[in-house]
Order: sequence, then structure tokens, then C-alpha cells
Amino acid sequence: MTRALIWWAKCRAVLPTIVVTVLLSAFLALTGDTPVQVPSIIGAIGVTVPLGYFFPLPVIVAVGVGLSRPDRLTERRSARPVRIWDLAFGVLLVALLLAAAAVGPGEAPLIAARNTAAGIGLTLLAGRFLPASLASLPAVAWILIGVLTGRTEYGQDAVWNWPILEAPSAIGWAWAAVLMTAGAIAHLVPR
Amino acid sequence: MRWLTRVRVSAGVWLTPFVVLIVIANLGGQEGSGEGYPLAVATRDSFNILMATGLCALAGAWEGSRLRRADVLTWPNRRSVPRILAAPWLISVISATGVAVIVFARHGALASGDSLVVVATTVLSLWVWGLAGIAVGLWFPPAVALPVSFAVPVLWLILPPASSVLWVRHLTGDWFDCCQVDQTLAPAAVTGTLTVLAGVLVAAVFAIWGRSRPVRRSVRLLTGLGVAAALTAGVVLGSLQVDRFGAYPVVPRRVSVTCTTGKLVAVCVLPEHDGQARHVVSLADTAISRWQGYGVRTPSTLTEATDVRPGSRDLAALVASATYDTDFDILTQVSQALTVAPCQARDESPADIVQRQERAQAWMVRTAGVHIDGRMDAARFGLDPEAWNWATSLMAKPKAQQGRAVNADLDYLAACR
Repeated sequence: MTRALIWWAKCRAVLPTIVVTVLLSAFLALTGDTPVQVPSIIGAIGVTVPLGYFFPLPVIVAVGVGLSRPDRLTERRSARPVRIWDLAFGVLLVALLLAAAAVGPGEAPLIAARNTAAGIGLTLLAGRFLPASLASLPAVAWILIGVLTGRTEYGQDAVWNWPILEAPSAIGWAWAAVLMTAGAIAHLVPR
Repeated sequence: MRWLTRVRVSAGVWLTPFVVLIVIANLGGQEGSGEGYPLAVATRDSFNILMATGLCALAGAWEGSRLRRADVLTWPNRRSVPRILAAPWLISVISATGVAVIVFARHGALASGDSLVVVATTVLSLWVWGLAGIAVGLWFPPAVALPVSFAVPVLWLILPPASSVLWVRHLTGDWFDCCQVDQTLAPAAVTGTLTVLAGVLVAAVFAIWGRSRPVRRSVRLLTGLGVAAALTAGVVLGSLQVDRFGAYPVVPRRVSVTCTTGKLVAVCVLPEHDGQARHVVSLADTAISRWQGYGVRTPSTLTEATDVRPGSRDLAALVASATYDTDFDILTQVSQALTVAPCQARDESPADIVQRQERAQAWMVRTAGVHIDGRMDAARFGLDPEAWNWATSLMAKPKAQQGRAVNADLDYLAACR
């Protein structure tokens, strides 16, 4: 079992991903709240987000890279619970970013952790239906297009635009929960 | 590969709807001048189109990943590397380029030299980022290359403008705030952006060269160093050109004005105000004839030219970026033009200068004999109530005394250099 876990960790690039996430988490605690004014390209009103808004991107890409590396046929027949390990790994990454919230002030760590959770969920979901190499692209695109869309002309947040929602927003956390759950189900159900 | 097949399987073609969506979603947005100045229209459109650089790079990375998987570049090949890459590169950027040219042409941005520079820089950005995407796709697995190729150009457009170091934003080619009709883009801002693009281009060429050699540690090392050096040089050399700018990389616009002569005054306007010149002259004639009746000395020319020597009582500078939509706007601009002190060009406005300026302006707008809709009070003209009251008391005095008092103020203002 231990040997299988080691091989799984190597295959998923667990160590580099954790190192990147810990560094981002530390950076998040130190400077994540720096405001970034993003002009609206597609929508009506630009939005100001914390710098930490962009920190989930490398984490999501790293998870996508990990998911693209294994041989799917081999893993499908594996007796080891590799898919559950994948989910646990995703939760661990979110927890590492949440840890910054305990140390650093402001909402940036919460937003980063929420968007990472939603992004990983979406990546797992996309990995089920798209080529593995494209798995992280929808989440990356959603986060970037979301911030470029900004707010509606009435200064409100569109319901679909979960990445830019404030940290206390229940809708934002609901999106994260739904995407994570959907991603987990899509990843766990045998193909 | 047949062209039809190439089109069918190309990411560049499949991404076309997204390019169109990004561009058309904001086509109705306000441009910087508010007056249809082609340069301002071009920079507004460029701001939207530049977001397609992410999609061009993504399409390029897709093509690069395909070439990487087939290991095309390292196998013995009858075609040269540029010939192999030409079709994938072209198909990655062609749809965004087409959309860009159509949008620019529809908005008249191809009509003037200034705006053509913006068009050329925007299209070059699409082309260079498309090639950079191919280079990334050749070196990295698609799971890395695709999201990174999409995210990096987009983040490059988002993060520098958010920096507290204002000039960094001018390196991206996004000059959304440019320009009022009396301004044009500073050449250094354009060359700074082109320098950064040249750095990205050289880095991409280095990476492609490295990938077309047999994979050896020395080649990898040389490629990595070359890419890092090219990117660093591009950013550093570009920064050296734009680091003297603040938030706005603009210089005064040197363009010939067209003069329309009235009975008492000639009004010279920029091409964007040609249609309004006749009405401005008519209203200025009315006002100036009234002011001259009081003995106030007035200029013979009102001009929007940006090279007016300050302090002349015979030539007054109109604020070219102002609007002339209503009689109220015109009266305000003409009265302001006559009461500007040369020292204010240095952003200095001593209290006594402002006081005399507002007093003279308050008297002028009330004695101009121009009927404007709406109320006549200090707040509407943005004047101090004290100046308004001063004008009220002055208007109760004989005409000659009014003229002398206003002339004294205007002379005082002209002497402030």
C-alpha cells in the first residue's frame, strides 16, 4: 500500500504541487490582500480583487498536470483507491490555502481557497469528459474570464461569476461545494 | 495535410467564436475622447482585441503540442523549420487578425497614421503571442502548455495596469486611456511595447530553435538562457523607454487646425470639431461684440492648436478636449479661453489668479448676450459665489468702468508667467 501511495504521489507530482501551494499560501498571507483593479472587458463595470485571487491558477494547473500523467487504463484496473487519494489531495491543497487565512488578515486567503476548491472540482469534472490535457483549462478560463467580465451594470455580481464573489458570499461557497461534489462524483464513478 | 483538414482540426478556427464574442461584447463602449477621434477609437478597440492574445497563444500551444507529439521538428525533414511552423502559426492567428482588422476598419481606425500605429501594434501582439504559444507547446506537455499559454498573456494585460508603478502598464500595448483630441500617443510608449514584443518573439524563436535540435543538456541550457535573456532584455529595454511617463503616455497632438473667420474673430479647430466651427464662430462673434462694446480688449483668434504661445492677448487657446454640444458649453469655453493665465500651464494657480480669473469669467458669461437654456448662477459655471457677486456689483456701474475693471483683471492674468 505504501509503495502504491509513493508511486501515486510521484505520478501526480504531489511533492512539487504541495511545495508550490505552501509557497503560495505563505505569499498569500503576506501580500494576498493587495488590491488589483481589473477593467471590465466583457461586462459593464470593472472589479477590484485581491492579488490572491490569481493564486489558485498555478494550483489548479498543477492538479490538471497530475491528472494528465497516469495511464488511465492501468488506473481503471487498480485495486488501490487512487481516485479517493486524488480527492483527498485536492482537499489538502484547499486546506493549505485556508491555513493562510488563520495567519494573514483579510479575505484573500478565503477567496483563494474557495476558488481553488471550485477550480479543482471543475478540473475533476472536466477530466471526466475532456482529454486529460485539457482538464484544467475550463477552471483557468472561468477564473480569468470571470474577473474580466466584472460586475453587472447595476454594480452587482452575476450569479454565474463565482470567482469574483466576496469571501462571505454564500453563493460563492455553494458554487465551490457543488463543483467539488460534482467533480468528486465524476472522478469516482467508474468509466 | 490538406488545408480543409487543417482548418477542420485547428484550434485557431475552433476558437474563432470566442474571439468574436470577446470583441463584440464590448464594441459599444465609450472611447477616450468621446468625440470619435480615430486614435481614441483605435485604442478602445485595441483594448478589447488584445484579450484575444490569450486565445491565439492557446491555439498556438495546441498546434505546438501536436508537433511535439509527432516529433516533427527533430526528424529529418525536407522542409525547413519556418516552413513547417508557418501553417500552424497562420491558422492560430488568422481568425483573431481577421476580426481585429474588420473591427478597426469598421470604426475608421485605419484612416489616420496615429491610429494605424495602434492597429499594427495590436496585430503584432496577436502574431507574437501566437508564436510564443507554439514555442510553449513544443516544449511542455499539453496539460501545462495549454492553460499556461492562455493565462500568461491575459495576466500580462491584467496585472501591469494594476501596479502602483504607473508606467509599467505602457509596456502591454493597452493604452485604453488614450487620448483626448489634443493628444496623441507618445512614440516611446509604442516603441516600448514593440521592444517587449520583440523580446517575446526572440524568446519564442530561441525556444523553437532549441526544440528543433537533438535534445542534449547543452541545447536545453542554451535555450533556457536564451529565452530568459530575450525576455529580460525586452522588458528592461522597453521599461527604459516608458519609465518617464505617468498614467498617460501622451504628448500634444501636432495637427493643422482649420480656421473659420467670423465678423470679429476667427475660430481654428481640430478636424474632430469641423462640424461645430460655424456655430462656435457665430456665438463667439455675438459675445465678443458685446464685450468690445464695454471696451474689453479681445483676441482676434480662438484656436485649438496645441502650440499656442501663452500670454498673447491676440490669440486665445480653446481647450480642445472640451465639448461644444450646447451654447452653454461654447460660452463657457470661450470665456475660459480669454481668462487663462500663462502660469497655469505649469499647473500653478495662485489664489489671486484664480480669484481674478473667476471674476472676469463671471462678468463675461453674464454680459455676453447669449441666451442659454437653464439657470444662470455661479454653481452651474463652476464659479465661486464671491466672483458672481463681484460681477453683479460691477454690472451696476457705467460701461466704461466695467470694461476698465475687466481689462485690468485680464492684464493681470496675462502678466502671470
